[in-house]
Amino acid sequence: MSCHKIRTLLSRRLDETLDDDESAALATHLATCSTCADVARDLQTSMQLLRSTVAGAGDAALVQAVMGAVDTAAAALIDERDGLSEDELFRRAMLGVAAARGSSIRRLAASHVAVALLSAAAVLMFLGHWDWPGPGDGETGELQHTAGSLSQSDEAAPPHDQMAPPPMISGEAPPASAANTEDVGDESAGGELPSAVNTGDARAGEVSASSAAGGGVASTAELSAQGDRSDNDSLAVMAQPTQNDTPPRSAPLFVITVDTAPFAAALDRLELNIADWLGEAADRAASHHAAAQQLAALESAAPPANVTVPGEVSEVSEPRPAPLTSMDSELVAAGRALERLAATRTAAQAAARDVLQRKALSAPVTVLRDGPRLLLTMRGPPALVVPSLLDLLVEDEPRIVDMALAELEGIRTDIEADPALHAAVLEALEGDTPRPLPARLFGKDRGGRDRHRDQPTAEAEDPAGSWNRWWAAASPHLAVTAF
Amino acid sequence: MPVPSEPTDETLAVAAAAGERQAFEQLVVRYGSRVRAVLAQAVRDQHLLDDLLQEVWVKVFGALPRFRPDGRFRPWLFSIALNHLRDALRRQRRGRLVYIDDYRTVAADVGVELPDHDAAERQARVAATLARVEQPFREAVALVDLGGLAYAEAAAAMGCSVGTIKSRVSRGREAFRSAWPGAGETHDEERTQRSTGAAP
Repeated sequence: MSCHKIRTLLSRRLDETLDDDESAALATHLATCSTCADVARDLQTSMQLLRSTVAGAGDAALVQAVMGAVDTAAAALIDERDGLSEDELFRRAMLGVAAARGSSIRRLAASHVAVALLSAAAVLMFLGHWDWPGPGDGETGELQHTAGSLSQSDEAAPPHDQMAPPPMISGEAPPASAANTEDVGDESAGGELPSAVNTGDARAGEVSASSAAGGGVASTAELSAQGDRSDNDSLAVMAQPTQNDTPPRSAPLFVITVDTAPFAAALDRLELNIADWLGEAADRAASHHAAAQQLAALESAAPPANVTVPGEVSEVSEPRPAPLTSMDSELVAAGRALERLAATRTAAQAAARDVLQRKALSAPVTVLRDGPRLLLTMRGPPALVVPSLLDLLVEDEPRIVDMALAELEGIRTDIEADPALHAAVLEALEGDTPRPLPARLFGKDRGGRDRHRDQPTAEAEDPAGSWNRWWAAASPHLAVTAF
Repeated sequence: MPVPSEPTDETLAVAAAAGERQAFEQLVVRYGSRVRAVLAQAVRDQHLLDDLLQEVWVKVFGALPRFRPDGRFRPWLFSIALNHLRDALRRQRRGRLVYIDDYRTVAADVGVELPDHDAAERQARVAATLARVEQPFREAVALVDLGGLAYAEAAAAMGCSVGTIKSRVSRGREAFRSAWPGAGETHDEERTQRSTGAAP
């Protein structure tokens, strides 16, 4: 059996789906082919590791978080929820969802019939046999949303065989519900004739064409999926976290950690490397100093007629003798210089550690460079850390700074495009003023982009100032990406 | 016929659809971690991952009235999860964001040797390796090896044939093995064999 064939069996062996013949053939091959045996071993190991990352069933924190989100969604569907238990809220919400789904399916079924009728009307109008209906039909307003959404419904549709069949089209109004779910799925009721029909919107055109061709009523999956999408969109919106009145996140947010623990090992290694180097230098210096002292002692026992120490002023009026050798002079000089340094290895190590710790504690950002790799430790809130980080990196890592500014630009655009979020950001500025972004970040090629291309802006003239005004307002709500 | 000691997924789903919160919670207990693991094959930011996980289950909550008692819950569940994941990934307008609080993954990316003898470190390395497996093979591996789905269930969730899913899983596993640190030695030998024309 070829190695290629063996490889196809290895995956199945993990699934325990090999028959006896295949198992025997695989075992025989692995016993004789070291390469395949290595591959088999690697595959087994890597798959074990992959599968081991799945937390065991019943991860309590996960379950609690999920149920919290579901309970929030359920509670949002209930008008009068005071005093109701979680179980009761869930029950009422679920029954309400089921009732709304029934009514929405009936409405959707009716609306699809309306699509077919309108299609026929459009055809007849085209042929000159019909007058165009006026606006104001709530049913057709809903139709616009329905027509637009149906083309997307397949993506959200669970498998067809999971769908319950829709109830019969009754034409009656949706029943009133304590869950207040009448509006679930009905996002565009009322209003004008759908522009989809007037302007020939492609999606409505597709629906119309298919409805006209297929007899009017969309498939069960499409009806249910449409309800699913609209219902779940409503549920998703209602499930948005609202704790502490934080603004809804419509733009991606980034997070910086203040946890420096993961880099402690690298910091320790760097610390120790530097300390070791200093210690070794101290050792060398100490040994040189000892040698110099021994030399001096030897020399002091003999007439010093021929020794001259550089820098010393001889008190002897006699002519200065020539130095022994240049090496001797260097030893003496080194010994004296080293006297001014930490005399022991421990002192050198302590000095190195103190310097690094002071730097790490005082600076909001510590950058450790290990060859081509860059490790960042950060302390403090993003409003303070980001400017320091960017300032630190702008010279050595301009690419990273460009990326960061691009991200900030994107965040700014997103927030400014969302009036509610923008207003919340502007209103929520409290506490200390964030450190401003360094002006030197905004060179000619940065920051001065004219956001309103046709007219000069204050930002173009003072990009740093403009950015900082925005940054002061937005930064409390932002965290920053890592690179 | 032995009486099952635990209710089936479908039984729980029907009970939850009838309003039983405990039944729904039991489904979360059974599949919460696995759904999270499947989502994690495409999302490495923990905050986004947690958000997506909760959104998936909120969707399940809303969709349960549509679940047929004679259907299969697992592929239905993971189909919702995958669809939601794809929607979320499409909504992202920027490239991959690396959150520095996900430091272990960052460290794995830059090849930093961290004290890595705990589960979190291993998870980060696995996640970083899995991210190198291309789609749709990565998704297939996630459904089968992380989600625990059978091939037929995974095929239903991904909307493909069983044969296709088997092939994708096989290729995904091989890609994961190749990308895993330490597999290079095996690769070198293979390359040597191929280049030298040594018989397999």
